[in-house]
This record gives sequence, C-alpha cells and structure tokens, in this order.
Amino acid sequence: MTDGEDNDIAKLLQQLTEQNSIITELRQQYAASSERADMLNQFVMRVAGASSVEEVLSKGFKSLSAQLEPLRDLTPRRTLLSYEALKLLGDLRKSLDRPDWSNGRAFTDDDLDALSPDAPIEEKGDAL
Amino acid sequence: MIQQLVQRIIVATGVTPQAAAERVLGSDPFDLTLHMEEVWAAFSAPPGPGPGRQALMNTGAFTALIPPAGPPAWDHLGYSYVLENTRVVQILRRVVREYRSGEGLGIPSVPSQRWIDATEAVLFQAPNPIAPWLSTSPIRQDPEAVRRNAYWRLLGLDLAFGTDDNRPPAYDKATAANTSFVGMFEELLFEVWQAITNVRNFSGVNASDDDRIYRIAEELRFILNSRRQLQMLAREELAAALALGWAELTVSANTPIVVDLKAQGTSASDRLRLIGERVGLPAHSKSAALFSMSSDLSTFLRTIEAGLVTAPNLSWVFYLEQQPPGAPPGSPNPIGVESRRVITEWAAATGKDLKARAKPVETNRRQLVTAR
Repeated sequence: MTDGEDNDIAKLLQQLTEQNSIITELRQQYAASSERADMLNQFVMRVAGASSVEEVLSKGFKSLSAQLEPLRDLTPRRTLLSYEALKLLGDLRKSLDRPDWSNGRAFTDDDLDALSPDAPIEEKGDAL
Repeated sequence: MIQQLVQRIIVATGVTPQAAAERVLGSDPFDLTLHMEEVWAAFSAPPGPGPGRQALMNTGAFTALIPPAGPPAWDHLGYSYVLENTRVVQILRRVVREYRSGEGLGIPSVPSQRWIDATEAVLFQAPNPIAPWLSTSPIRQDPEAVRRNAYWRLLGLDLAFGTDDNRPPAYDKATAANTSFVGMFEELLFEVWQAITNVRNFSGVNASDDDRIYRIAEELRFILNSRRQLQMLAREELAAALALGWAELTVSANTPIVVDLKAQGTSASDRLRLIGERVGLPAHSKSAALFSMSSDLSTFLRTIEAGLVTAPNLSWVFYLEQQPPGAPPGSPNPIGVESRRVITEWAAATGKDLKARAKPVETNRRQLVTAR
C-alpha cells in the first residue's frame, strides 16, 4: 500500500469512530426521551383516571340526592314565634332573672356598708 | 323570689351581688313580708289587697322594686322541691336552734344575728306583723308539711327524707295529685336530649321528634295547669319560693353566717355540707346536682306551663340555644341551655341515664330518690 492509501484508511476510520459516537449519543438521547414520554404518558393516564372517579362520584351523589329528595319533608320544620309568644318568653325570662354566684368571694366590709340595712331602696336606673 | 329581689337591687342600684345579698339577708323580716305581698299583688287576679294592707305595703323598704304584672316573679315549685331535697331547711333549722339555745356554734356576728332573726320569721313562722303569705295557720301549722302537700299535688313527689329527727313525714296527702308527672317529665327530657344531639345533624339518622316533644309538653302543661286552676297553689308556691330562696341565698356565697359557721366553700353544696356537719345533719349526697339544676328547672317548667310550644314546629324552644334565622333582632333566647342543664343534673340526681335510654322510662316511680 502506498502512503496515500494509508491516509485515506485512517480518515475513514476516524469518520467511522465519530459516527459511532454520534450514534451512541443519539441512542442515549432517545432512551431519555422515551423515559420522559413514558412518565408523561403515566401522568396523563392518572389525570384521566381521577377525572373518571370524580365523575362517577359526582353522578352518584346527584343520583343519591335525587333519591333522598322526598325525605326533605321529614326534616324539622321550625317556624318563628309570634310577637306575643316572644314577648311572653322575654317576660318569663325577665321575671326569673337572678344574680350569678359563680364568683363565690367572701363578703367584705364594703359589701356590708354599700346599702344601709334599714333605708328604703331607691331606684336609680331601669330596674324593671 | 329572693334571688329575683337581689337581682332587682343590683340593677336598680348598681351594687355588687354580695352587697345586694347582704342587704336582703340583713333585712327586717317585716320588710320582706311586705315585699312578698307586693310581688303577690303584682301577679294575683283582682281583687287586690285591701286599703290597709296596701298602705302597709307602701311603707316597705323594697317598694321601688315591685316587679311588673305578668308571669309570676318567683321560682316554680319544682325549684323549691329540688332545693328542699338537699335538706337545707332542716339544716338551717338546727343552726337557728343551736344559736338560740346556747353558744355551741360560737357568738354570731351582728349581721349573722340579723340573719337569724329573719330566718326564724321567714322560714319558721316566728311572729311577724303579717304572717308570710297566709300559707300557714292553726289548721296547717307546719310550713314544711304545707310544702310537702304542694309538692305532692303538683309534682306527685315526696321529699327524699322524713322529719328532722327521721320520723316519717306527716302531712295532708291530697287524692288529686299529678302522680304521672315524673314519667312524662323524664320522657320529655329524653326527647329533648335527642333533639339537642341532632340540632346540627343534616345527613345522618335523626332521632329527634318534634311532634313527640310537643305532645309530651302539651300533656305536661295540661296536668300542671289542672292543679293551678284559678291560681290554686300559687300562694303556696310563692311561700315555698320565699323559704327556699332564702335558704339558697344564705349558702350562695360566703355570707356572714357561713363565715361564722366556718363553712366557707366554693359552691353552695360545699357550704351546705359543711354546715350540716357542724349541726349533725348531713346534706343530701346529690346536693351539687340539686343546687345546679334548681333555677334552670324553674325556667323549664315555667316554659311548659306558659304554653309557648303550641305546635310541633315550635318544639325548638326547648332545645335551641338561639332563635332560628329570621327572628327579630334582640329576641330572647330559647331555653336550650337550661334544658341541657336540667337533663344532666336530673340524671345525676336520680341515677337514671336519660341520654342513653333505649326504652321509655318506667312511669310508676314517683320519688326523686328513695326515701329513707
């Protein structure tokens, strides 16, 4: 072989080597893309599945609600008290109004002196 | 009646509850009697008091505090019944007897001496220019027997104990008595509890029954009002509210007599227990529950008698704590809070679990607790 032929062969080998590395790189990119495509595919499938469950539930509740509609008549019906009844309730509560003794402190001299025991009580405010 | 008088003094003068209570506990018993006449006159049907009685009433210390005409301004007989079951009146009787007969309990302070004077007149019929409420006379001398008679007629109930010295009680037991009261009352409490637990239940099984609440309440109103025709038992009820209100106020706080008896406590039942130990007469073991429900039971029974629940769709008055949406602003609250307290404490006092009852309560049990 001549020197020129040797050089051509070397160039060809170099080109082959470069192409091989390109092919390897492309394969790796393809594998990565495939993996992403699989993930996206799974995600899309999951979303689609959730929508289905939601739809089924929604339809189910609507159906259940329609079936239970007649029972609405059995729930307690509360009407308001008339004016006279409200007044009676208010008067009743007022007539039984009493002090709160949850603060059970002992009596002090100030308590004993606050109102003279023999003097009539003078109404100062809206007592009744 | 006594607690309501204290409240009116607080509102009128702006003093503390302790000061108002001291004003009442230190009162001349004649002033208390005159005020009771005023309270009675504000409620009772015509004819009112005669001119002589009216003139005397106008001289009383509490004339400015007459309640307006309307519902009776004193607690229901049920209030007096549960309080008397604590044995508070019999214990205070021993306190007064001890102080009057010697110095075994020590020397009472001046405020305590005023309390003893008034207690002897208000609770135990010591001579007073006007006999309190004409509820006793030579025909019916013992005020406790008069109250027992009223409890039996209106509530079909007897007290859980006998006399002070443990003899069987002697009183006129009327034949016309509401012996079915307790059974119906506990049935109502059970139904009201079912409704309370289902107030916010919009999806599950709802065991509340407004129609049943209305029907039981209506039946209770019928039997209670059948004993109250033409104001029958009203005066006895007022006399009982006076006596038991006085006793309750005495132990509501660490009043001078409580301090003199060295019975300071954090609750009325604690104070009564300590006083009972000092005079050798134990208070009822369920006193805490009895004190706790007394005023709420009064409101509950007054509401039944007032006939506010005239239809099933108004049964919520018994179990809601606030008016339903749409009620005028400032409307008074329904009695749900009071009902809840009565249910809890009635169950505690009687030992019956009204909240978990699986079948209707027996209706043949008449007494709150077994009599000894």
